[in-house]
Amino acid sequence: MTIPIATPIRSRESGYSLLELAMAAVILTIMLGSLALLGGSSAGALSAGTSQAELDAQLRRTIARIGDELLPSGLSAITPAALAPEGAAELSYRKSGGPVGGQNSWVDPRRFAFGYETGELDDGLDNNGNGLVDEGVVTWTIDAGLASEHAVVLCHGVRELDWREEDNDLDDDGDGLVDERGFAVQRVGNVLRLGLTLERRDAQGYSIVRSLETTVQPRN
Amino acid sequence: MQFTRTKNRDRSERGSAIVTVTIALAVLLLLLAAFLRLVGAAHSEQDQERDDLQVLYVAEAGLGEAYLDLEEGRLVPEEEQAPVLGSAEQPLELGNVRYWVDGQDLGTRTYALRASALERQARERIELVVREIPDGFFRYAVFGEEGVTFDTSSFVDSYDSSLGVYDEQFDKATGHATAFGNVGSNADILLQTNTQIWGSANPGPEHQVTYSGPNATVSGSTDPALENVVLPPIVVPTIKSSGTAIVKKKTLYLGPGDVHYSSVQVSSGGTVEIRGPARVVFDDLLLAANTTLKMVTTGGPIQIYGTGNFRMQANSHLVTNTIRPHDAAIYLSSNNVDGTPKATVEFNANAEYTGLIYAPRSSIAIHAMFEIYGSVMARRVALGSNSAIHYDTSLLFDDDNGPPVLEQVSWRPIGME
Repeated sequence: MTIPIATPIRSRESGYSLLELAMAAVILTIMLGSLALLGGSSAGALSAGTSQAELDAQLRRTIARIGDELLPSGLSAITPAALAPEGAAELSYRKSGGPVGGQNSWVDPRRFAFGYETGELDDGLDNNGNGLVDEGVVTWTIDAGLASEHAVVLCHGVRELDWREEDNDLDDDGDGLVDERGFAVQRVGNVLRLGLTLERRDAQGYSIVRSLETTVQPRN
Repeated sequence: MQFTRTKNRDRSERGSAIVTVTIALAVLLLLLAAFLRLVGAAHSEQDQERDDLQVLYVAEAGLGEAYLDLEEGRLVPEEEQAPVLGSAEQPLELGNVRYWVDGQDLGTRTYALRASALERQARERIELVVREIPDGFFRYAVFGEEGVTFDTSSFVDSYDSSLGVYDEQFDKATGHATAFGNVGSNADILLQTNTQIWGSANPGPEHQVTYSGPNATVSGSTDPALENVVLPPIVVPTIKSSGTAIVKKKTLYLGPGDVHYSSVQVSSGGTVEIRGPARVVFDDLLLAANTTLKMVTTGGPIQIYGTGNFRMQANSHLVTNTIRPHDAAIYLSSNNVDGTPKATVEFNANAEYTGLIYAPRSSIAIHAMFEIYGSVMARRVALGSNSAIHYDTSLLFDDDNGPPVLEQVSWRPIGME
């Protein structure tokens, strides 16, 4: 028969040697460091991913809004013609108001336009200190030119130029447009091609640029 | 008996690894949760966008189906909006999207098709308005190739004979019936004081509408036409002449069938009665005061061809007993402008003429006592003071000339009811 007897061991085995403590400290430092690095890079990646996702969502919503507005319009009610190579960064249009007397009627004029962000100038500098140079907004104006006119900013952080363009009077990206804005409209046949490029700085100060294109065929 | 020692570790020896791992796991789990939430939100948004797009496409498909049915005559919308494909209670289904289409007849062969589509939270309702492309020849209330003039208080509006007589469609509140009484010309259109045109007044290309007095009204467009309208010459049927006729205090019956008189002189108390269906050619017609020309169209349509003088003098009477202007027509190949010899054309009769007047080589003057329910197309047209023309919109369409062709009027999203 074996009977276990608990015996406190308090002899030469008790206590840590200096070497043990040093090793433990090194291991702990490495572990915590790795953890911090992992956390930091994960947070950074998450922040970048979040920024990208937000930009993508903003792009999609803005383009969808513009497309929804232009769909019930008609090429005869859209100015300017937005033909290559100029395209247009400002588009006035009218939507169908339904039939009146057997003819289509149009609602009061509306407009989408690129404009510079508040505090920003067209000078190649970051005037408003948000890390972006000469960035703009897309503004949607209802009842354009009328007493009841009012405007809404659809999105901020619009690049001054399309992400593939440089300010050099050339069609750098080969899309037919020369030095087009971050918000650009091009008419191709009966179709309008809409392009929007947004930019922002993430938490680490890195530039994130996202771009989206779609086509709309006005129905009237 | 044997004794073995078990070693109770001191608290200070217990590892802190579990705490570290727990913290690390917690941090990672939080990051993962945030990421999943982000991805989930983006996924939901994309789902919604996809659903929105899908219901739009299905609504479009519904419109397409209804449009085809309308074009092929399988669908006849009613005056009130009513389901024509499926219904809100019993929707059709396409790719898990429920849809239905409502139709409505907006009048003048203009139809609204309204398609609704639903899927989960996504819904769309769009309206397509189409109209039958007018293919009738008489598309104007008044057309003057070389100009149209309206004297003071002359009046043009429209009605639809297929819906009943003009008086039933006249709106006392507005002072007119419908507003499709279009006026056209290849030259200028001149409007004097108090002229009312309930429709458009479209002068020729590079020409204009001129207002020579106040209070002239044009309810529609006054834009110049994009191209000239050609008035083809009249092809007078070749019919053996019955010679001349002098009608005095008696009635001359003509028709049914083809009739040709080189001259008919009707003096006071005389009547000419034409019974349709008939084609009657007058090389020279004179209706003096207190005479009557009756066009009895109960048996069929009547076409009168005037090749020379065509005179309905003051206090003569022109009588038509139809409400359809398709039934009675006066075609004048006479030339009273620069013909050799110059013919005389007069429409001074007292009449409520339901019919057509076509005179591509003559200038026609319509006076106050000669009220027209139909259309006048001529080389020149002058509407006298207080004259009135009520255009029949059923003339816009030639139902005997093939199936109708539709065109889009408008397309737009509308709110779901």
